[in-house]
Amino acid sequence: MQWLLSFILRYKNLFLYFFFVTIILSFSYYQSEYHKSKIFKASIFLTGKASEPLKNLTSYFRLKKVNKELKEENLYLKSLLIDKNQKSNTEDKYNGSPFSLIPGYVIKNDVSSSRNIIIINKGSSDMVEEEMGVIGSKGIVGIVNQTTKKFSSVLSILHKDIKINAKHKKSNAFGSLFWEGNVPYEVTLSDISIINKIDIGDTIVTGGMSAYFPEGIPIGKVIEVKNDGRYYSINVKLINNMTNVDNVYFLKNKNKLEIESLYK
Amino acid sequence: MNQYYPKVFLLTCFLIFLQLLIFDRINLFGFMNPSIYIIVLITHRYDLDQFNFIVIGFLLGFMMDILSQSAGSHSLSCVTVSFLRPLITKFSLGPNYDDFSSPFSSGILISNRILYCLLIIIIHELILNAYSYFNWTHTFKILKLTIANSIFTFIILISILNLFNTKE
Repeated sequence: MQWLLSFILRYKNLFLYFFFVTIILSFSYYQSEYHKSKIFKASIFLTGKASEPLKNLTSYFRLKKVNKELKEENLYLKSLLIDKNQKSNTEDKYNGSPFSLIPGYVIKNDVSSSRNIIIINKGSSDMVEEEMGVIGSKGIVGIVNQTTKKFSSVLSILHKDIKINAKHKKSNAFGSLFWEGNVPYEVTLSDISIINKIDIGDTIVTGGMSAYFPEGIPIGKVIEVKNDGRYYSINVKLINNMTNVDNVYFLKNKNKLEIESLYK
Repeated sequence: MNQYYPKVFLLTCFLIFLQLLIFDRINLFGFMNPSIYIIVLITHRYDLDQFNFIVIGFLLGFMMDILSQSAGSHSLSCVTVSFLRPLITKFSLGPNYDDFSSPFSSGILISNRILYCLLIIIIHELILNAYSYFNWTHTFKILKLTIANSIFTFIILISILNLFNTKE
């Protein structure tokens, strides 16, 4: 306190000068519209310059919250997209998609073996059930195999025993998608009849013929087409990079039990 | 000492009166008006507290602003000159300016006095015009007004100060 007092007394003239300058600036602010606008502009500029580094710093600490908000927004947008796909592909324009989304986060991912499994931090307590479809930010990821209370294991699309119903987006020709176990960015689409015209670069999407995935979720692009006389064997490059999947969504199909009962 | 500040007050009122009624209406060549009220700032004694001097400078400028309906340019220029005066004095009269009680004490060279007056006038005019225009696009106009008004003010001030100069 003593130190502060002696500091103020030592620089009293400087303080007095700045005090008067402040009074003069406020006087100008009320006296002249021209000075008012100029001072206002200068204050906006200074405030902007001063708050920019502060904002950068605080935004860094807010990243976790922002991330969470973005995930929630993403979830909402994904469900809207699925809803929209459903409405545009069916006659039923009033009922929404039977699919609802549950967000999750990958805690273990493997692409090195021929039967890859992904572990996700959501389990039966989060309403995750076996045989639910799982999608990532860009496309499909896999199908839930087992669940515990807090975790679930997912058969990755890079699993040799998994087959997914997929279709050629342009011609709507259906086929079966599977992984041959070679490279983690390439899968094969088979059983598409040669009467359909398939070009390199065409998009392959989910077919919607199973209870796991709704129709129209992107899978990949055609990179090679082989013809065995009756059917095509198409090599598809995955849109979703399976080596760095982190945020995923479980697809809960409300009509799944009903559909399955028809198979019995 | 007790009689000094009332004298300063009376001198201030008188100079403001002169400034507003006569010198602000000269308009030589259409734009030149001398600021003679800064005689208060030039002739103020050195041996008094600078704190009071800054207050005097502010009151002088503020009265000018109120009476001439300007937006604070007189106040800012007068306060800045009164705040910077020790530096100006040291620069123009040398580091031992404390030996003299006022800039017109005997023993101060005429060239030093001229430098001292010119510096105060130029700084005052520069801040006055710059704050009045308050825009970089008018830099040339500000400099033109500063130079012209400084010369005019200097001539008028030297005439007045020589007229009323009382040797100590």
